Amino acid sequence: MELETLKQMWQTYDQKLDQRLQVNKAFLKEVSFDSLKSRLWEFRLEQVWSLLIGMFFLTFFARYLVLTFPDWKYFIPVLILFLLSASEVFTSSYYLITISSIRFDTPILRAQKKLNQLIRYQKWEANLLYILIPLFWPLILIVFSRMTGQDIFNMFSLKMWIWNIAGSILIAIIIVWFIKKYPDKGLAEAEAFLKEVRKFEE
Amino acid sequence: MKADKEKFIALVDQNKKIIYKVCNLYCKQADSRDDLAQEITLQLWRAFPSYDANYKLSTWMYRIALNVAISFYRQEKRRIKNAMPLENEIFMLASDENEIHEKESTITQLHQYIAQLDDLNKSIMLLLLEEYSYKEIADIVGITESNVATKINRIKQSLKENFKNQ
Repeated sequence: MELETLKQMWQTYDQKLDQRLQVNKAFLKEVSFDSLKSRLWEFRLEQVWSLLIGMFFLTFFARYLVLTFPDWKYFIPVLILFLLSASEVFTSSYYLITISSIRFDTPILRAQKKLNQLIRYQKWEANLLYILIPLFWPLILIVFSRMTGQDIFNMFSLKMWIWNIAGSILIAIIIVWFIKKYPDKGLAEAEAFLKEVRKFEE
Repeated sequence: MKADKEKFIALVDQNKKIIYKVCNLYCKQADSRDDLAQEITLQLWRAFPSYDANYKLSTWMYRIALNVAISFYRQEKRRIKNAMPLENEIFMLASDENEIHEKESTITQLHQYIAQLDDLNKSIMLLLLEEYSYKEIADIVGITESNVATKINRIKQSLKENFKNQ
């Protein structure tokens, strides 16, 4: 059989499809306009939680900043924790604003750049945990010792502080490994999706 | 924006066969076909604002649909799963696909023939049946015109072998 004969048969098949194929327009609307947002929904929810927790700690440490001033050996650890909470609030807000700004009418390249920026920022944030985790628990201990009226600096020896920090570094390494091994799925999927679209435009 | 949505839906409706045929050639499973149809329409919608009216709409749609299908086909095992459950289908046939084919066993055979081609040749074969010129096929698939000609010659030879008794 020749190609021309097959083409004619294909045209007949095409005409039949024309008569019988229908588009579910309501579902099409739902799929096309909501799907990308739903992919980012999980990530967005995580950021809302992170923002709320950050704001709670920010208020909590702000109160202790006032209470410990000018007792420097307590004020400085509380100030560091306050700044860490502030950075958490800032980061979560930045993520949320960036995701909200990725609209369906945003040019694809710009949307892709924004998502790539978020992913780069997440990797940078994960690396920061190498410092933050070892610092966090000693600082928390200091703050709570101030709250309970115990002098933590006399309670723990230097050796114990070193062990504490070494243990925290180990925990940080494990956590960062997990974060890098299993990055945010929704964001990665959205990025892959946009990469594909971009590829078609080139 | 609302006008764009309506325009896009009208566009998909007018060219529904393109998406349907691509899905049918690249996916054997009904579930995968629905997923692929969803992915193609989603990507068409994303690319819709950048559509250049100087180009033929069907060419633009084929280019996106085939690229998505090839990518989807390669990544089927780890394909994107949407949060949205697929309780519905975007494209529905008023009668069963098999019913359309049963009177046309050659079309069924042709579908089977295309199914065993590699993903690039699948695209070329489909575009060839759709009466696209070599230049247009080269543009959509992303290879040179002479490369398209070579591939088409091989397809023609292979077709003769497959359909020699008819």
